[in-house]
Amino acid sequence: MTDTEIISLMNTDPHEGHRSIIKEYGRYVYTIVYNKLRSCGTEEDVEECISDIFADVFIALDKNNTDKLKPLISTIAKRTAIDHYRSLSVKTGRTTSIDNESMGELASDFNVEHISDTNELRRILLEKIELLGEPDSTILIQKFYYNRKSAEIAEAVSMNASSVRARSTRALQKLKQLLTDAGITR
Amino acid sequence: MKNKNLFDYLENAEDNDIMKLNEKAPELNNTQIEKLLEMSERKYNIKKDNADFDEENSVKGVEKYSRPWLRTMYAAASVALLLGGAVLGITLLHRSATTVPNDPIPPIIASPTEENTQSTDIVTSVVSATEFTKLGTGTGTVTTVVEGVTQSAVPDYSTAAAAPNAETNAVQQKTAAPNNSETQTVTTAENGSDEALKAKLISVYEDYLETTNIFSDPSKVDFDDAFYVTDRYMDYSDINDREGHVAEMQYKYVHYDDPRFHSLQDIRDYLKDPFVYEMGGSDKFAWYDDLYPGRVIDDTNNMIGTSGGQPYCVYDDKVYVLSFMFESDTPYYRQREQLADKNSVEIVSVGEYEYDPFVGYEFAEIKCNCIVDAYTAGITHNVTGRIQFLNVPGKGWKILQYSYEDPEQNQ
Repeated sequence: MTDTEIISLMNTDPHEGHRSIIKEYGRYVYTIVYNKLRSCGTEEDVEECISDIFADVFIALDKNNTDKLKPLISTIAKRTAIDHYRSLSVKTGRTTSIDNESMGELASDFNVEHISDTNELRRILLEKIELLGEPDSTILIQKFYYNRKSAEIAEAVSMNASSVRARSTRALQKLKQLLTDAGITR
Repeated sequence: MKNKNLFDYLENAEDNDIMKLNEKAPELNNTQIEKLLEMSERKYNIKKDNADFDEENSVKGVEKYSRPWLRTMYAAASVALLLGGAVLGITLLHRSATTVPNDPIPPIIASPTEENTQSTDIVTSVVSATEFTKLGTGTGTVTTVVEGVTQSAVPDYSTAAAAPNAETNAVQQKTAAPNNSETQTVTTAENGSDEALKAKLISVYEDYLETTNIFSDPSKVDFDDAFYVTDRYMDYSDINDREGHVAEMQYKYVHYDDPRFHSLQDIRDYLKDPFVYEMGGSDKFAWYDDLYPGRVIDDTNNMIGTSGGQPYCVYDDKVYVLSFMFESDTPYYRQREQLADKNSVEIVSVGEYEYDPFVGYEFAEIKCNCIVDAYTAGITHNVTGRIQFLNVPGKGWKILQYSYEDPEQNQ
């Protein structure tokens, strides 16, 4: 459905409009949230964050007239994901109280060089994964980034689970070779 | 120091990378959508009710205050008076001062403000990730011999004894730079016209279809004569630490009565291998010769080509095939396909030579439409196939990989 159709449906049947928004943008929001919370949250945390995002989207649509949903959803998703990340980080001990005696000795972990290297590595990694073609690139991302099981991936790429396993192993070998040829090793 | 998962570097991505990850993200199924809808609307209703409550009990606005104009007048007069007094005072001072060249008026020195500055030691953040270091690019040359493929008629596979296509050996030598960011256009031996190439590629694809559809007549299946084999494997979740869990899958084999085949070798002799022979020992026909009822195959070392789930086996001098070819309720369902219309096949591109440490040969990609029997859905519909071929020395065109796009899955 287009954004215009969704908004039109929201005016006539808000419940169905909400469902259409989630069907259309649920995967996109999941990508944003998972990218932020992958290291600190569970699947339940991801679900909670996604539902918070869509609740805020529905509220925003009640108040504002817009014909472009993606920028609105994207902005809300990123900000809400960051909020959840910070909230979860408190629980995992990545932050400390300002009243803590050791507060003055803590240095910022903002490292420009590290961030720059990470961004470059990410770009190269995605580029080399794309070179593997389909279905290998999808299998690798879903298995090692989204942590899905072989049986779930098999359904997505129309293969059986043993083929998915075999292909993922071979694709991983190829990826490591491509990265080595690009001068990236450990 | 804990090894960082390579794919962890994909976290905290920028917008462009998010879009790429979105393309590979799993689809939300209907159950997940309904759950998210229920959670979202519950929170939406709560927030909306709270917003209404706040609306009724909130204080808004600013009390307007108008300053009397006389006060402005008084303020202006005060400023004027002060300025006038300062000018008068400076003038009088200047007139009464005597010249003292060596006694200048000392400048007013402001007292220094004491600041509580603490010197902070710069502590480098603990890097928990394993550092990736860049190496220089490699050097050296590679010499590859590629055999060209001539035109040939589409072979007739109506009989099991169809001969393979004849290929001439037009040898060309080429060197390739090891820097895989460069591509070279290679002039190989004549492939003939596009139609001839297409016919050749279709025949290779039909070899693949023959491989998958060799046992496809349900009337030859004895469902009562069946047994199970268990495949025990390691389902890896972390590529570096090899963390994962042991999982098991059961494969059901049913007896298939076909007078052509009495042994695995009979099947091997019949089938042509349309796939690229890949590194790692993944010989397509490297099947277990000793599958039997109740056998457990330990594949926890995840060796390629030795896992369970091979399509055929022989037990008690009878040929057995995987039951998913005929049953739609198996967890490892598979689609059986046939080429719907040869005229619909189009060559998307005939690739330029690219140096690739695994397969450094020319490749062509053809897009074709196929009819797919989707066992789980029990329906027949068209999907679009995308197949990559490689020209392998001594073996001709082979399938590198293939995928299908099913438009009905995205609805």
